[in-house]
Amino acid sequence: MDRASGDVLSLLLAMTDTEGSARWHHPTTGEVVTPRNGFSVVMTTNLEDIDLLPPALRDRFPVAIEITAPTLRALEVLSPDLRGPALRAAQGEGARRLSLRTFMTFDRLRGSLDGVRAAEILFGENAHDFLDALRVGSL
Amino acid sequence: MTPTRAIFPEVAVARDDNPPISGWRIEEGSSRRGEASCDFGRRVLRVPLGNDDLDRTVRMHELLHLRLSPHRTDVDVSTFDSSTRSRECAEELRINWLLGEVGCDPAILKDGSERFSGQRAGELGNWPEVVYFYAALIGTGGERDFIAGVRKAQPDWARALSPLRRELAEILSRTPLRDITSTTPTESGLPEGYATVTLALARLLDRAAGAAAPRNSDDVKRIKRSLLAGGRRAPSGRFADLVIDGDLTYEPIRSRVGSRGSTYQVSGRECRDPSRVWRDPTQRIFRHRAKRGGGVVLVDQSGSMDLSNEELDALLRVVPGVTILGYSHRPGDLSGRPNAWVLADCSRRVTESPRGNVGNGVDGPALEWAARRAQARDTIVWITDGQVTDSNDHPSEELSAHCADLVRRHRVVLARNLEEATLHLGRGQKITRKLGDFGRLGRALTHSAVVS
Repeated sequence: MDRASGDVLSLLLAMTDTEGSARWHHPTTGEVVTPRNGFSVVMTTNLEDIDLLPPALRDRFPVAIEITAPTLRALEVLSPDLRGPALRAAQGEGARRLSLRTFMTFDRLRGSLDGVRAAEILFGENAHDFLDALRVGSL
Repeated sequence: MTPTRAIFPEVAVARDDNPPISGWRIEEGSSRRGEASCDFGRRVLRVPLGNDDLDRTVRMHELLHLRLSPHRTDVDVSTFDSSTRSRECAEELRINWLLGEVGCDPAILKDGSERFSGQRAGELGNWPEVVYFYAALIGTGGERDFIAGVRKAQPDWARALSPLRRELAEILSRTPLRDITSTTPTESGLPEGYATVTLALARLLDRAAGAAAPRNSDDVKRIKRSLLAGGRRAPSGRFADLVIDGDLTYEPIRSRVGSRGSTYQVSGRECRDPSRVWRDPTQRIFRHRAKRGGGVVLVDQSGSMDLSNEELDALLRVVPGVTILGYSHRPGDLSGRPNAWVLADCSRRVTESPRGNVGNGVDGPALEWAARRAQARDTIVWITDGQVTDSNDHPSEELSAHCADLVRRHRVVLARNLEEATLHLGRGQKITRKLGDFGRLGRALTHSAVVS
């Protein structure tokens, strides 16, 4: 949602306000789209700080849930030895937070290259620190 | 300085005991001793951020602490049966031992201060610190330098460290790696690896550190034997510190005798209640403040002595104002566990008398406590079998002589049981025992009397 342009954001503000305002007029066909009964909106964002959203938009979502870890099903795509580290690394601070995607890439790369080379490609000069942490974690 | 290097504590902290995963802050430290740390309370990992092997090894050392060391602060340390310093150094040993398992060479760990540290500790005569610090250096590059420093100041000490190293290494070698590194929480809240390995190492360290500093090859042999499984602790040659239990519950002594109340007699100087002339058939009108029994009684509660509640009650009935200190030290204990109890004081007594801890170990400090506690004209009675032992429960001529000196200086009355103390303090009966009834202490008293 934080990626939406100004026009889209204005439209979304109307759509998520009241039942009366939640209608959209198709500019080409002239069709007017209105919400069905039980209409609700679930918004996702990768913003670290939810307060960075426009206050009016944030106000339209009374419930906010912060998800800090990947789901267990998502972790199953990784090799078993990387599932724990990936789960914990998602809780890292700032630049130390490593996404599931990073681990998936590392897992794939180390299949064809060796682990050190895979880490170097992904983590550059921090490759050995990453591998050291993995080694300590797997002890 | 803001660290630029990426350290990944979250990846390393793979534990089974609900560890603190998020919120870690990295601070720049250095590879010098004491300048890197893993602070679970503040969640701060302080590590050197350089690229050389030493910096990397120190980082790995701290990450291993993060991965394995206890992180809970609510664990009851009194149950550990070891001293704080021994646990610190034993944990360093476990962590250094594991560095090889994560691809590091512990021999790199050395900051150049080790030789001087060893020599200095030797010159200061600080045998316990030599033992503890040596354990923290085992396997590292500083180990040999430290021994060389110790040897320069105390050659026999350096010889005694060798069997210690062997026994410590034996514990680590025979324990499977998965057990050394287990973080499964135990009943006490500690990770299993720490509870089974580190605490075992710490107890062995305390055993060596608690022995008297070796002065010859016989002493070295004695320490060596004491480290073997089932071996008796070597003599320490000193008393343990007196630790008085502050967690006991007390109840007031219900006794008429010795209370602040008054008695009336037919003669006196204070005619307080003239109405007694016709109320009291014997016309006792003069008030006398009841004499408040005083004194300090020391009770040796070691295994060779016994203290019954009935005897305690009998003494307190007669002399309720008396202060009674029971003492008994657990042989070899350096954990700070209480080894003395105020059984009665200020007209109150313990609800339940604690049991002794097998050994004596604190006879001297207990006598000194009694001497400080006793007021002018207070009698100090020491209930003892005459066996004075060191903190490892070995009899000692020197410590017996020290106690004999205290006995003479503070005019301490010796008794064999509470009954004798009761008769002496309550009724003024003289204790008619011979010095020969008080074993080694009696002999020391006899000897000092002859010498003086």
